[in-house]
Amino acid sequence: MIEKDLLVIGAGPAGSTAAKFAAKKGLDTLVIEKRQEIGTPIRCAEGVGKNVEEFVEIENDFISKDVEGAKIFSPNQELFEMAERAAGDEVGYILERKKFDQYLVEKAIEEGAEVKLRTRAKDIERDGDSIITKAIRNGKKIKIKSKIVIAADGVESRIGRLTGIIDSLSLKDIESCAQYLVTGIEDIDLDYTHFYLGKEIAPGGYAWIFPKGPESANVGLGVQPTRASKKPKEYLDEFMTQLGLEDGKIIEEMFGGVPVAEPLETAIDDNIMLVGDAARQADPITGGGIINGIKAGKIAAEAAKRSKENENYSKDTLKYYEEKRKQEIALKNKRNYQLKELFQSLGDEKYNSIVSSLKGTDFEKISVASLVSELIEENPEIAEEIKEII
Amino acid sequence: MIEVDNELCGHCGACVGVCPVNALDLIGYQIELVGDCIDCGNCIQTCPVGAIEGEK
Ligand SMILES: Cc1cc2nc3c(=O)[nH]c(=O)nc-3n(C[C@H](O)[C@H](O)[C@H](O)COP(=O)(O)OP(=O)(O)OC[C@H]3O[C@@H](n4cnc5c(N)ncnc54)[C@H](O)[C@@H]3O)c2cc1C
Repeated sequence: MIEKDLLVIGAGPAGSTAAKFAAKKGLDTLVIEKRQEIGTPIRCAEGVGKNVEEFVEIENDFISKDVEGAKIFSPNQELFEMAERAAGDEVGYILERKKFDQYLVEKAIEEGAEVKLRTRAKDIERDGDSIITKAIRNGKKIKIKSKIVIAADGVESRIGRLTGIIDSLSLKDIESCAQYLVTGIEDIDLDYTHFYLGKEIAPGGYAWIFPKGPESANVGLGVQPTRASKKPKEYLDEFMTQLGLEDGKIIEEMFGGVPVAEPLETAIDDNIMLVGDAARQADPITGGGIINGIKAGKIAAEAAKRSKENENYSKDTLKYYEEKRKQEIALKNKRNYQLKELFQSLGDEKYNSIVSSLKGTDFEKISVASLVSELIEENPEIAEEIKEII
Repeated sequence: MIEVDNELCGHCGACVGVCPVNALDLIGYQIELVGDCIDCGNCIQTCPVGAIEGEK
């Protein structure tokens, strides 16, 4: 039996950040990851806001592109643009996610965490004041005894569910996604990210073009399964045609699910904390989960350190994580969840009128907050709902 | 009971996350049935490529 202070399950951004800070604070830390290679296959459009710099030292190695702003297209193909400053946290860098994830794991190792690949957590049970995780490593059964488990096992989150902290994702709270990495693109402005709205394109979600290089981009979309009449891959093939990319040179195909759910009431139990997608921390509007996962990992590491100091691993001592993640993540996500529900209920005409009412605005000067008040002014029918949410 | 076409599958694990009885797991590049399927159809509806078929 392996014995550790902390076991982190899953080496995505949330897990490796938790491991890095926990190891730095002196916890004997092990990370297990079922994949054979960190970061692949990627399941991500790779966009992050520039505020990523608050958490990660930016190295050119894992930045594909520094974007200038966002172009948003309504169902009737009207466009409005947001400069980077106005779009704030939502626009910034397009990462090389595989390198980024590997970099974060390297940082965890530098701080003293141990990492085992090809090791899949299968079962978990409490044992006195510890917790025992049964895993399969290279085909063989192993057991890991730890004081704390941080489950960072992503959208699948079998571990979170085995502990009873969460239920499965409801179909209205997941975006089912397909994406191609396309190269040889000529007629699209690849200094901007592009977002496309509309129920023909991506019902209950949106389609995107995230530039990766001078001629290449992630072209993808997410749909809400209950609103879709086709599979995301079929919507994507149609979107490619609409963009004139039907003969596009696809060098990678990627699929995935993102939680777009309400924040959890409780993300902990005795000896265990959930972080990242496992705790449904992706932003319900954008589906962006990298930065929130990193934030959560950092908070969870501090909570782990505090409980080690107190030699108490109960739910009560892990409350630090609950309180901090509520302030730093759940508050905004809760509002965005309600906005998501509202936006999803609007028809294409409404999107058209919203985009067209925003068109004349000077986006160099405005913030997302003033954007919302503009929205309310121009679209009184939904004003009450939006006001209630904010 | 569901059937997964593991060659059509994109190995993304979205189906695992929506299974209400935790009966699916992504093991290596295979989606495997590791529990008792209740034929709810969630995985079928969620799969981005249509790799899962079954009752519902
Ligand atoms: C198509 C798509 C596009 C997206 N685009 C963006 C974007 O542009 N920007 C953004 O910020 N976010 C985006 N996201 C969301 C983002 O990818 C996730 O929010 C982020 O990866 C969550 O990080 P995480 O560490 O919680 O989980 P993950 O990165 O999913 O990592 C979880 C890890 O746990 C491992 N694991 C799972 N189960 C076990 C187990 N039992 N034992 C051991 N290991 C296990 C997995 O193999 C995986 O490596 C996108 C998601 C999708 C699907």
